[in-house]
Amino acid sequence: MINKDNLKIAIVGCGALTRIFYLPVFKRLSVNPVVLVDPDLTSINDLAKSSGAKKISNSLEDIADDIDAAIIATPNFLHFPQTKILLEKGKHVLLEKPIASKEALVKELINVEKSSGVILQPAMMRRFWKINKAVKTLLQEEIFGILQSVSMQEGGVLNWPVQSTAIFNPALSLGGVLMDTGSHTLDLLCWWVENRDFELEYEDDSHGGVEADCRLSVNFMNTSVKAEVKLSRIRNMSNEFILTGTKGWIKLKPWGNVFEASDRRIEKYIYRQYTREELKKQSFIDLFTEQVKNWLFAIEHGSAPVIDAESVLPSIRMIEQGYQHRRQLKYAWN
Amino acid sequence: MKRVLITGAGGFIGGRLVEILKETTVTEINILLRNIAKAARISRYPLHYYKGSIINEESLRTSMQGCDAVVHCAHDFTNPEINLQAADLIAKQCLTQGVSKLIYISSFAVHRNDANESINETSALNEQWDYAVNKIEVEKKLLSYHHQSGLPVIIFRPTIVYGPFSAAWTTNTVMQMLSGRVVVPFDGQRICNAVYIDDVVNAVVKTLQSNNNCEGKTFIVSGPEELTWKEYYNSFLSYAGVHRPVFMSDNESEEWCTKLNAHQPVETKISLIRDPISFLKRTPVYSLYQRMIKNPGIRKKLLSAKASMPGPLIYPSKETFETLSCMAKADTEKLRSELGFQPEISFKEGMRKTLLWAEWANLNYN
Repeated sequence: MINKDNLKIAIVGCGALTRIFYLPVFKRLSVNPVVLVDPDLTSINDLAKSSGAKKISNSLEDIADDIDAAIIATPNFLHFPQTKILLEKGKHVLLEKPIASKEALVKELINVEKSSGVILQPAMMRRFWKINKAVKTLLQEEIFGILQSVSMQEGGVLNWPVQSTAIFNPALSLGGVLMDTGSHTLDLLCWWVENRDFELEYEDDSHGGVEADCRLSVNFMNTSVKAEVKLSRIRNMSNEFILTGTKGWIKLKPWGNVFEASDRRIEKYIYRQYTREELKKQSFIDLFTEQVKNWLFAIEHGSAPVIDAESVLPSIRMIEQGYQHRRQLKYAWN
Repeated sequence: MKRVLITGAGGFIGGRLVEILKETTVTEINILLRNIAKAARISRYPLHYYKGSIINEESLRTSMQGCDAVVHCAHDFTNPEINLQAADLIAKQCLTQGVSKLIYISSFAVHRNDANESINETSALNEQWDYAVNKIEVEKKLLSYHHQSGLPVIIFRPTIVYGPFSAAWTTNTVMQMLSGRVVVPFDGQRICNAVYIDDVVNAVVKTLQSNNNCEGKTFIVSGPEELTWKEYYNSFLSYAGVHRPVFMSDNESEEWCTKLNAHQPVETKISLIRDPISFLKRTPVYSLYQRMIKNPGIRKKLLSAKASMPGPLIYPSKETFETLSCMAKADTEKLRSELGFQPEISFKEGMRKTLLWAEWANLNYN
């Protein structure tokens, strides 16, 4: 069995996500990354000192043979090629979303993962919110009847501390708010609905750049489930997910374990799984911690990761099909 | 015009300039931004991004490379010195790189507005308000480069610019009217020189595209109609949930104005009848309310009772008071005769578009 304390881990990409979440999580777990990788070496010098990393590098290729595992938190266009290189070399990977822009590429990664016998875990950390797990079982046990509709609205005026312009370059980001926020939102949708067959309509406001606002309507085949998803980086959104079944509904926030339900029965079901205190105290950093812990556990024990790449395929296909069938979103005031 | 650098493209005027340029021309656009997140709106178009500051010489040098023109929209509200430094560096860099046009977005606020006569580009300047003083200094600096070194600068002084994505005169107005009753002085009868964003941006685009020897000149840009502040505020009343503004009488306004000018405390005597929410907030009733509202059982009833009361009064700051007290109509004759541009979007049409946006933007979710 591999011991996580002896594991040589690289963190590849040292933007806001790494600084705000991954490095604090490593501190929390008393794990030191051995190397930080970023094209801008001067900006990560201090980061290496404070995180206990022994080395910094601006080239993944240069250090790939010296590590056992890596967290990939680079601009989106690098996710697939960097992960493929590492998997082929037999390295375990925790890969930030979107794990790839196309279903075929995810399948390619899955094949390499299997043939190399390593762990590839997509960083779909929202599945670790306790309320989201509770909704999953609520649906499986049909506590509010048969699911009829899902309405998801997420976003706000962008205020993420963006370090690089890559996020707005379609060649580097591979898309806008659908690819970015949508990776999480649609992953939850697909994870909850558990139906891989769907047809969709999609429109966004891109004019050759990346979309800032979009709308997606999904019909899940052979079921009565319809989903309506609205995402934005440039306007206030209700930030509510509403799932309606034949016998009730539940309303959630995209973050935090905040919910409202149509009746006490649903509330009781949730509170049987988690206490109010447990729901209240879970934070973003807890999600990242649970994610990294799960990944390390899978590596140590040679077990399957809690979230595997296979389970992310439907949401990646949804994004891919959205862009393929894209219609222009027109603003009434322009 | 093949390539233009826009500073402040993450803001209201710069953002709309990007949209209109990309939708109506084949111009390549460089943008220089300190805070990349602000580019979300304009990132819908293919642009050339440069992360950096307007007071960093190297950032300006690289972002200006290959540009025929520069439109300087950026303004730092926190530090006036930055705006002066930026003007200096931008002027020098334009001269070094042979930029053929520099457009600076100044403000109509540079003018005094308390005289009962129309204001043109030669009218008296406002030396009282820090924002106006800073804009005047920047204008002077750029014009001195024009006189001494031939900097091809053209200055625009837009009036009250409203429209989609306007923080000052759309989002802020709606937010204030949602949170309470905005107090408007002089019975709302003073002049609101409003201009729809597209009229401002189209004036800039026309200037970029034409060869009209306007370098070294300054132009006021204002809308085609004469409007009162009452009309301006009342036009937002169709937005769901907003409170009707309160129009302060001339006498009350004069008193208020005297206190503001004398820097005297302008705390109002809050009355239960006139401003019940603010009145009750100053009594023990409010702490009781705060405790009771935590109870889910009576929360709804309390909120409904609060909703039925008139919203708290929102008094204008000194600067806003001055703006709402404007006596003079902006004169755009120079814009028409020398630049050949006539603002044409009526207030009715501009507000129709603005409210469509405001509804879409879910301003009431804040």
